[in-house]
Amino acid sequence: MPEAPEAPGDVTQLLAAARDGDRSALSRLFDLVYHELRRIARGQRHEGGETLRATALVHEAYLKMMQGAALPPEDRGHFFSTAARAMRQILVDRARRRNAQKRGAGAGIELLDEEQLGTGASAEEILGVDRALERLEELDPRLVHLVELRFYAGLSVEETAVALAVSERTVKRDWRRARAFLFEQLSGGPTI
Amino acid sequence: MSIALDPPRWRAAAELFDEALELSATERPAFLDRVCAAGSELRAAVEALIAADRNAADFLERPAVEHAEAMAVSRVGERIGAFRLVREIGRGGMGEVYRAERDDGQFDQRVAIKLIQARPASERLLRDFLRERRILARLEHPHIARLFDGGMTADGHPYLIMEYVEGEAITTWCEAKRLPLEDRLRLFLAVCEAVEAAHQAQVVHRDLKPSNILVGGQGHVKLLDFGIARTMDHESTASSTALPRLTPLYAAPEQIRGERATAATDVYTLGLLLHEILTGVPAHRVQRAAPGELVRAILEDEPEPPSTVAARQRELGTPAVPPRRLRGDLDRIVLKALQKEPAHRYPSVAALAGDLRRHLDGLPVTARADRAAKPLRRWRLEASSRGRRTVPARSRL
Repeated sequence: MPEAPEAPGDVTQLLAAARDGDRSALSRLFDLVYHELRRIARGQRHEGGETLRATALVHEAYLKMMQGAALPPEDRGHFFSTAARAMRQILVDRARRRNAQKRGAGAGIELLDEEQLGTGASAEEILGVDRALERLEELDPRLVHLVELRFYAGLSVEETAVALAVSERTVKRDWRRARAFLFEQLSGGPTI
Repeated sequence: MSIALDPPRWRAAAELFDEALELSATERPAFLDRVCAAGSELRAAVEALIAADRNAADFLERPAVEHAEAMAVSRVGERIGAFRLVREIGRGGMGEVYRAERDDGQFDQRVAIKLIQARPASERLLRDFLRERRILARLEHPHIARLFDGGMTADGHPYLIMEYVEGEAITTWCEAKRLPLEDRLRLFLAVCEAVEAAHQAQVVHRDLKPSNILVGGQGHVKLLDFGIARTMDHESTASSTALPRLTPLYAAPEQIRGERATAATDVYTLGLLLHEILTGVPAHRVQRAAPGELVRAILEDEPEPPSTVAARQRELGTPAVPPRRLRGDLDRIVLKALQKEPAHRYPSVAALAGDLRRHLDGLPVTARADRAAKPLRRWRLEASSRGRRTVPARSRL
């Protein structure tokens, strides 16, 4: 749903409404952030692979949308949670497109980068993590939220703790749990 | 093989997982024997989690987008102009940087080649890029990494051929060598000379930060990445695809607000650099890093005087620069460069350098006369690493 970016005041209102549980405000906010992140990402690079910088992207979206206006901490946290979900969506979409490309005419060229870099199937990993997160959502949605902030928005342990209003110790404990679960899901036959 | 876990059983498994990790590998089996029924699914789940934890290494530790970066093709081995790309040495917002060697058998030469990823989408962008290249090529200074040449690859990507510089970030260099104050100031003054020379040529750097300022083995300093600099009279639009990403930690308030960068912006970032060179830590360090907090701090919080920061660093060890050497004029110089309002900063990099030289010569500095400019607003210290919060009293410069 492409539109012009909204004024900071509108975003603030949306955040406040979302904080009060207004689901349509949350959905609208997601659309805005998603759009903004894609716009920024497109402005960065193109052709043959895109470069995105995790926290820089999310912080940049924050800057562009808020333009230095002050936000109370819980709304800031909310913004970053929304941005994290939007990032997840963007990356999953891209990984799917990349996979589709590989299977198509350009297969020879696309495969080359992974072999050269030896980093393994990055697009596969993105998709695999996404599937595993859907599984985790059924068991522990709170952990999914944390993974989104850490892995997709690229927030540090400290930043995540503030965004979730929990202690760093809790973040570290939960992160360890989440990583173990997700790794288990990805590495061969899931036991769990 | 899949175990049907539901939320309560997941919670139970996760809690046992936490507890089991507190024990050594030898104690775990006994612990699990105690808390799980033999051969139970719960036990299998906990053991699977423990095994995953052991094998996960740095799984997910790199933010997702970095996978996206890695998806791009590396051009090592390709030939560009008379050079062959030997090794990728960096990947930044604008593209990749490679170390390259002369390939035409003429003579040995090592250069750095920066490949711009965005194909100029229009004639106008291409013209802009070429004009900037011409201007940057004119920058000849012992402390600025030279731009030798540029061109376009066969598949339409602009590239720059630059002097290859090896070294450590200036801040790391100063700390690692525990340089005394005077040597740090002299190194910084060399940087000022370079930036001032660029300003004279109508070029603003816009991205001065320690990683762009390298010191080589001989102690010679070089500025890099003027490639993203803009000429001062160039009308740049905020959405230009050639605009690389800002490093928030070293951004001036006006940059954060999306305004055009000027020479005063470079003065500010030099102020940040000087602050860090004198204290060993970045000027805007936000301990409890809530999202958006750094931006807020840059826009609103007055930076702490270097002497205060250095005094606090004493808790972690003896700083190479004693706080008392920073109190007074050096504090004033740094804080003047770091004024939020560009008009309140030094009018030029030369003016900043001038005050530093006066200080080195034991003469009074112009920053002293600024006591009327702004009383130092009460600043909030973020919670210290020990969890204490301090709010110092108002003070005037």
